[in-house]
Order: sequence, then C-alpha cells, then structure tokens
Amino acid sequence: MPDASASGALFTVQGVSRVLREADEVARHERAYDELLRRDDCPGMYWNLYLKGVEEPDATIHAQIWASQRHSEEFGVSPGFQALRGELSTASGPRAHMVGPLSPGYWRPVLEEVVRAEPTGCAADGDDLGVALHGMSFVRPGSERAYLEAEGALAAALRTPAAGDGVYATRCFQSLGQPSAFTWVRHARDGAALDSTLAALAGPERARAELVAEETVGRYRVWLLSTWPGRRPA
Amino acid sequence: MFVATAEERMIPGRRPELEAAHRDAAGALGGEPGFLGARLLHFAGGPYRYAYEMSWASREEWERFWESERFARLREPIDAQLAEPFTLTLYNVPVADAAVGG
Repeated sequence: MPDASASGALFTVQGVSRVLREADEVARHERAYDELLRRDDCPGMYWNLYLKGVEEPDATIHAQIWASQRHSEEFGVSPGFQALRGELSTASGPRAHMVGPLSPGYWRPVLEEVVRAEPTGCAADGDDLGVALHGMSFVRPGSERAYLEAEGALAAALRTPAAGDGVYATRCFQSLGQPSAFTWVRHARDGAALDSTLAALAGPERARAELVAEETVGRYRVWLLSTWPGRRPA
Repeated sequence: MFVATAEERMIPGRRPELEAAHRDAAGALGGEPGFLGARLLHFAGGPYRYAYEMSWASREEWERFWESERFARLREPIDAQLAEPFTLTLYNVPVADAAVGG
C-alpha cells in the first residue's frame, strides 16, 4: 500500500464551505483557479479536487495536495493568485462561508490507495468524474494509530475481488493541528458502485467506525479533478 | 501564576495586520503590574486561528487589567482583524514557575 507520507512532507489544504453566490459564478471562479494551477510556474501542486454536495448542492469541498507547505504558501503570495483573489474580492460580499472548526484546514496525507486510474477534468465540460464519499472523523485521542491501521485495512480490501470494480481510490489525511482529526475521500464511478463496494467492505468499515468519536459524512459528485503527477516529489 | 488565553479567528488575508497588532500590544503590556509575558501562537492545522497567551503573576492583577480602559484600548486594533469575537479562557498554573520537565 503506498504511503504518501513516506515520500516527504506532503501538504494538503482543505476547505469545506457553503457557497453564497450563483452556482455559475462560483464555477467560473473555481475553473479560473484551476487554470492558474495549470501554469508552469506553479511547482509542487499535483492534485486539485472540487466536490459538490449531492443532497446539498451549495456544499462545496475544495482539497489540494502540495509537495510541501512551503509550495502552498508561495503560491498563496504569488502575483497570479493575488490577482485572482483581488478579482474575486471586487464582487459584493463573501463568495462562501467556511464550515467547521478545521476549515480551511492544514492536513498531512497519510494514506493514498489508487485502485484504478481516476478520471480527471471538469463536469462542466461533460466529463463524468464519478462520486465521492467524504468524511471528517474525530477519533478518541490515543487511538490515532489504530485508526490509520483501520483505514489501511479498508484500503487493502478495495483491491480484493469482493470490492467490485467501481471504486477508483481512497485517501486519508490527518490534521496538522489536531492529530485526532482525520478527513478522507473515497472516489467511485457512480453511486451504485459506491454502494455495492461499501456493502462488500462492511467488516473493515465497521472496524474503522468503531474508533470514531464523532464524524460527519456526506456524498458528493466530483465536479473537478486535476492532477499533475510529474510535479509530485519522488 | 495565572494564564489568560484569547482564541482568535482572523479575517482571511489579514495576517500581517493581526501579527503587527499583537506586536504593538506586547509592547504596551510590558508596563502592566503583574504582567509576566505573552506569546502569539498560530494554529498548525489551519491558516486563520491564533491563540494569544498572556501570563500574569496573579488572577487579581489580571482582573485589574481586564477591567481597565487599557484592556479595551489594547484589544481594539487586534479585534479589528478578527472575523468573530475572541474567546477568552483562563487557567490557573498549579505549580509555581511551572515548566515542562521543570
């Protein structure tokens, strides 16, 4: 099982928000942000994900993985990003409000299991990027290692025939400021594939859930996913 | 010893202003009776959360400052950078001159 943390101090930023503007306007901004990341002068960025709520369409999750916190911070003060930020701030009122105490939050990727190649692109282009089950889990302090092992067991089970062929990947991240907090994303082809896989993995999922003190889980459609594997540190 | 901690959540993009306001506050606190020291902590798990930790010789000295006009003046430039009111939490330090491993 690949362990992302072994490849260096990878860094994730995640924001969970409720969008306060028209969906089309927000979508334009999100695509402009992604375009900025595509430029050659954006080293260290290799995974950019937007999720939109299935039950609550105004619920948005934006998660990124960077080669390091330094790369992320340098992007944050770069002229391109500052110009984009300035453009957004000229519109009236905030674009979204963040939800939860760890949003926006800094996270450390601790597990990444890609079972089959994930589709990338943007749903606005007609790309079918699948669905995601997203969770934020607070475990009892002291059981962090056990939780990681449970996530690992679940990831390993995804590679068994029982899991079917509908799940693309699962990723898990640990808060850099609150070590008993984890967030995770399980990416599947569609809702039916996700449901059948989760049913097949009921055992490892139960073992994971038993370690959780508090949890928020939601189902999302993958609205945008961009990856730049060549920028990932060796 | 007595510790007062202000949990703060800044307005996005105001990091330089907030940290400057705290630097100024630390200078002003230096002359307060019973004030021992202060430090600004930045949350490792996200960009907007801070904790401002002030140490005092006693609760009484802290309360005299807290109830004075000087406290309001000290907080004003800091609070202007916050997205929501700060949360104040007070701690008794149970061992004199407590330090980890001390």
